[in-house]
Amino acid sequence: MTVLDEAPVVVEASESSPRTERSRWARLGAELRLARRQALREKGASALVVALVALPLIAISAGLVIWDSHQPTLAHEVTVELGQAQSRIEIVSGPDPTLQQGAADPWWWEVSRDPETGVPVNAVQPFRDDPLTLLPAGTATIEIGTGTITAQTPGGIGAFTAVIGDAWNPTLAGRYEFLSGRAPSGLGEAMVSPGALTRLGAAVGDRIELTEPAASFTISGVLKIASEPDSAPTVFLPSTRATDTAAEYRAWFAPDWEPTASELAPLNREGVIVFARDLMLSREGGRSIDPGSLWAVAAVTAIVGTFTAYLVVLLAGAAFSVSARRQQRSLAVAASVGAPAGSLRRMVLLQGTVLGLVGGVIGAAIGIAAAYPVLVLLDDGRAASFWGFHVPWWGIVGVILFAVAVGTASAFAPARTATKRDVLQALRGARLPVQLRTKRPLWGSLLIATGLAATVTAGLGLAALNAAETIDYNDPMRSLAVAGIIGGPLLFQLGVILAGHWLLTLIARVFSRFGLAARLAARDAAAHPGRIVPAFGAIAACVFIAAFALSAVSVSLASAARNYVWTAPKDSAYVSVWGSGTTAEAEEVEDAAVQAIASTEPSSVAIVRGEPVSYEVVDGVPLDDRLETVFRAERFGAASCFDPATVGICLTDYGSLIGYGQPLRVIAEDELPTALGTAVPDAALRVFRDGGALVLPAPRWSAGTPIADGHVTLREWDGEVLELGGGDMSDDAPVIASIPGDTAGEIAPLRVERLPAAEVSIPQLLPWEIVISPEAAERLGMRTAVVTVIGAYDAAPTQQIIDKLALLASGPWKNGGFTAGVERGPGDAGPWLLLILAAAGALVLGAGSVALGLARVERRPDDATLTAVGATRRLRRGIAFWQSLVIVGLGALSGTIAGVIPMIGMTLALDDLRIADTPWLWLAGLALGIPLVIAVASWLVPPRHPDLTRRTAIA
Amino acid sequence: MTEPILRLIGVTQQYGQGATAVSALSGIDLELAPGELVAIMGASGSGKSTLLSIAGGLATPTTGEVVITGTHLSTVSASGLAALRRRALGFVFQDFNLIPTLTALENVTLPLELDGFRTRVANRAGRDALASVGLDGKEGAYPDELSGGQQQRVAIARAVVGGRRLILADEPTGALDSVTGELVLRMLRSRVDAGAAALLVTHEARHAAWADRIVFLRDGRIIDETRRDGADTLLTGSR
Repeated sequence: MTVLDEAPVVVEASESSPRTERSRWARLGAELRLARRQALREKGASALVVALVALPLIAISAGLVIWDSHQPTLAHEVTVELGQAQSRIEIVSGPDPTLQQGAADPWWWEVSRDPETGVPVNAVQPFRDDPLTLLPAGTATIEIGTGTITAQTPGGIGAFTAVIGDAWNPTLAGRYEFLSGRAPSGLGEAMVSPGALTRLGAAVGDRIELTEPAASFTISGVLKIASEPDSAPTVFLPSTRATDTAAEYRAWFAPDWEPTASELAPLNREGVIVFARDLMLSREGGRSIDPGSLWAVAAVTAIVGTFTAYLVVLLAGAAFSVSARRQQRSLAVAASVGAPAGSLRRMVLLQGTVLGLVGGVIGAAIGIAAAYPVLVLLDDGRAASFWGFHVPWWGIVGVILFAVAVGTASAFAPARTATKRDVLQALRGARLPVQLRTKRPLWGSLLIATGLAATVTAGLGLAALNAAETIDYNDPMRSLAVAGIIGGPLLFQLGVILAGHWLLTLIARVFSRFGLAARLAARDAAAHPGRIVPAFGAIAACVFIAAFALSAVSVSLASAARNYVWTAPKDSAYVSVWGSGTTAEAEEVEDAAVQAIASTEPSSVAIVRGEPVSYEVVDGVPLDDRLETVFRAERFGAASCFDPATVGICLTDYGSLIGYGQPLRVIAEDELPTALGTAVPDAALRVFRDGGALVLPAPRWSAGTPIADGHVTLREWDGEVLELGGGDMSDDAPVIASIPGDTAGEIAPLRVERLPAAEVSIPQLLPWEIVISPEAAERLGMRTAVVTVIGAYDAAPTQQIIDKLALLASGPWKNGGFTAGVERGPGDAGPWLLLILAAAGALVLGAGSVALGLARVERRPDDATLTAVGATRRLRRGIAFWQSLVIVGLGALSGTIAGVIPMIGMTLALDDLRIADTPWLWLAGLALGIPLVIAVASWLVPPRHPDLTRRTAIA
Repeated sequence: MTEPILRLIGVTQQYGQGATAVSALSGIDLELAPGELVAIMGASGSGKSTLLSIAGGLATPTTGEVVITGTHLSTVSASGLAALRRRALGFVFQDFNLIPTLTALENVTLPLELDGFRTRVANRAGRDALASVGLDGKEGAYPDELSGGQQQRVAIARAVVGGRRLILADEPTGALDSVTGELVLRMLRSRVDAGAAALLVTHEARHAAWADRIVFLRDGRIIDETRRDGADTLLTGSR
């Protein structure tokens, strides 16, 4: 008996039978030819695969080009720093023999310092006036100063960056960009940037009036700093005695001279550093691509690439599934003439390779082309926003290889199936339904259960770790728990895909009861798992991301809103005063703050006062901001207050946690509604009028309450003593400043006062907890200063009001001032949720259209049969409706469940997050609404009228 | 005695199990010698096509043995069967089953190229095969550019290219008019006369008249068999 495996020739050669001259590539050539021709023949499916591969690659390629075009070359870096000059010389220190700079990294320099104190080892010497005597005799230089000037604007006085000197000199072209007009021809002319022109409300030829230093110039042209955006307000002034006073920093540009590396050291010792062209251009490693940026791009590309690869493999896989089925007779013929299983597999697989290559090339080409207009749109005038159109060819080649891999991978499952078809049946053109395999549901169910269990267990585990007395953030169990929360839903999805055919069979059984259309649609889906399962897998992946994003945004924004500390009630304007109270400018600043709000014509004003904090600077040295004396409210009910180790007093230190010095505020009674955003109940108001305190809601994390027996207990401390005793902040109750019992005697309060108190419920969390009246403060002998001024309006403040306050805030004070703003409250999740839902809808619509389109193509022979036996158009519409519902509905439902699972895990793990904040209605829209909308749309667009004149089943 | 090219020994094919079992073939014994054309006749459902599929290794019999040029198919792996189909036997189908995306020459050379022959060598053999069925000059034509008869001649060329000597033809004239059908059968006959062996499934007596031997099937069993000498008598119904 002969055993034939691959090789033996079993027949004699005839005259025309070539049994020599074999080539190992001949078979591959035949397979590739057939693959290429079949791909070309299946035009619709092939175009779909190419489009699916190309679409994400357009975005990835464009992203790579845009990123690379934002990376400077060495020549770019040098030009932006030097223009056409050879070197730039700067004085950064007094003479110091230890000073050294980086030759090829001239931004870096250092002197030897004491490791303990950080003070320079050598005594600090005065800076030299200029470096000119250190340069070779006859070296030409251009001196450029930089500083700040103020000038008259239509709205008042504005601050501008000033470049002083011959910035328009052609030697500096590239560092400064000449835009229009002409260079100044005398000391009475200046140039300005486009941003300054706008700010000044001026045009070339107009006058610019400087207020500090006092001077006046005619604008001769428009110039800008290359590294700044067009909108940056910059004034280019000639060097005069007046303008030179504004120069805070100076540099000298040498058109023809630059030092060698060895010449740098003596210059450095004199406190001088040099940016030298040739030293930079010869830098090791060349172009300075920010490694962080590179990693970020790599990470984003990897994430986007993985997700899109997953989607494309699934959707293109569905298209290949249909295409391969239409080729089954050709493949069967190949099998009948001796093509082994490997050949058949490659014939399909190579179609994926070919189409992936075509999609990759097309996607990359369109992406590169599309990047240019995007770059032009993004260009804000800064050199760094568009160094030039750079195509990272290494990245583009990678993108194309990625496309080839994705295309090949998408054909993998259909290729595998192609080898398992019955050749005889295929030759006869039979279309047999796929058998349900029991193994898959087992594995699928197991993965679904594991995914759910992993997430919930991981969430509970993380919660337990967080609840531990000492939290170890490096605990490997923590990483395991996080991996469980992330990995659980992925396992769940994989399980749904593996059990997909089984699920479709179950659905088919259930839908059989809903009428003929539902029965036919569901059974068609169950009969074509190769096409349907990848399709709903892709939809599930999109919906999974959307459901997770919806849940995460909603839950985290709700948490942030609960803990959001308002500066003022919603839609109020405010100015927050700093450095008030003890500075020489205090009264001036306070008056200006009150006037600023008043000038915006609010409907009501509230002035909030608190204990003053000094930021006074004397001879350039900031004074200690410690308070002379300070009132602190005693706190009750927190566990640590009864800790034997801290016997005695727990004090509110609320403010230290949220950025304010004091929790105690003083507000006049008639200003309370404006300050609190709500009317105070009469009972509380009576307490307030009688010299008592209003106690407002405290942040969730604060421990205990300042009220005991209807009173708050205020203790006045010496500022220095309080710092000594109150420094011991408890980890468990961070808002508690504990005074250790054994030192209580040494640091006894100056005074203790008990005030009647009433709790007031207000709609937001304000940065004060206890409010008393000015009369009560006076009776306590409390010194106060304006902390915040609040303006309320009949309607939300306009941008004009905001701009006006911002302008007024830039006052002339040196040791104090105020910041201004409008309190809009915490971010609203609504727009984000809508955006996510819309994006998910678009993705699902795209994926659904592909899946439904394929289903319609493959259903044509059945449609023809149905029509032939008298089926109405309504029935065919009904089938389309139910088919959409099965494919999109199953994907959307499983994706939504998978997306909610990790949020459940996270709400279990983190106290801040609450499951009640999950946006169930939005999720219902995602899981049910979108499938329903697509199903209705599918019903409205009836399938093409079937062709009854020819067979369309098998090619 | 010449070694038969094809031997079917006690071949049985059964579908289903138990009460629902259907017997497609029962105890078929058949031999084909080189230079012999055997026609299989029978009513629809008698097992003709099943017999052909089993003979070509496209289906595996429930019991029994198929031997092609001394090779027992039951001992051969899937890739070995594929190699056998590339080198030892060729199919001719009623629907021609040419690959529509390949030209006539490419269809003919496909088994050779799959077997690793250089394209140049395979093309030379393919052209010879096409010439032998009278299709010189049609090498570059795609199947849909050829008539039914021409397509079937391409299929015959593909079945014999590379010196394969067993041709399994399943109603090769079923989709052709009578004149073209006669032409195709003549071509088949000439290949057999040149040394090949052919098993022809047909339900038309005038086509079976081209055979050296006619085997009659009914319900999966051989009910009668006659040689060419007596064929004319048989087919005219005088037997």
